[in-house]
Amino acid sequence: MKVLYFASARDAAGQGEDTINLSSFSAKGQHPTLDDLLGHVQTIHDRLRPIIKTSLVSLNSEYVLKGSSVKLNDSDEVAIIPQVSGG
Amino acid sequence: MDKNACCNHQHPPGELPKHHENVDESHDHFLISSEPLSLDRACALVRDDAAGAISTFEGTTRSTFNGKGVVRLEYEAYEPMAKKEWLKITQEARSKYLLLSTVMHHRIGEVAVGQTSVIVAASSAHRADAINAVHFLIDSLKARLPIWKKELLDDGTDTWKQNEPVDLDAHRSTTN
Repeated sequence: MKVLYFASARDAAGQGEDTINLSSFSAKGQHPTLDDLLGHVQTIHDRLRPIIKTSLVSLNSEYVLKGSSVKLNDSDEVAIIPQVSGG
Repeated sequence: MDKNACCNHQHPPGELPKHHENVDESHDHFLISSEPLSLDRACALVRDDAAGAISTFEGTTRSTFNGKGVVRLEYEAYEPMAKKEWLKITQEARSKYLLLSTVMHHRIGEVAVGQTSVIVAASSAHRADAINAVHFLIDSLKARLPIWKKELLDDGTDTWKQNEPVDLDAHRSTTN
């Protein structure tokens, strides 16, 4: 699956996206969730920790609540959305 | 306001100009572009013989921030999601106001001082719907669209900006 980082999240991650194998962060026998993924990307990119605290998250281009136990699939795209500043 | 009432005269039933209740890309125009934006083009897209009003908002890069000189802004967008959110925002605008056509154009990449970063426009039979819809659309864009700007100052520093929270509940419908 794909994780996208924008603005300050991209600066903190040092790259715009990661392609992550679901098996790399799912507990054995458990279907991986959005929460598992967010924990995992913070272990890969330590500097994302403070950013993710204040960011929103999207799943397949729709805002989704953090702390969500929504299950993830290989085709999913998650994005870290720091506080927006369009206009 | 009653949906069949005009501002200063009554239309017979069925003769009110056709306003569209559902978002539809022949009347609602969205663009994210690295090219300069044009207010003339936005107005042309919403112009309609049934319209009595075209309202527009243009956002431009200001030369100072807290007394410091701004060199330019740099914008980026999560484009597929921005388009999905725009559809939702515009549908909400159409459920609140009587609208003929709308435009939301946003520039990405470098935007120098004095240049335009965003244009919102709406046409309606009546000015209140057009003006209030534009206000609702720009406030919703600033609160929800996944677009970011980095501000580069003349002292060599840069910062990712964060929009102030917006109270979208303050936008009442003109038509109820």
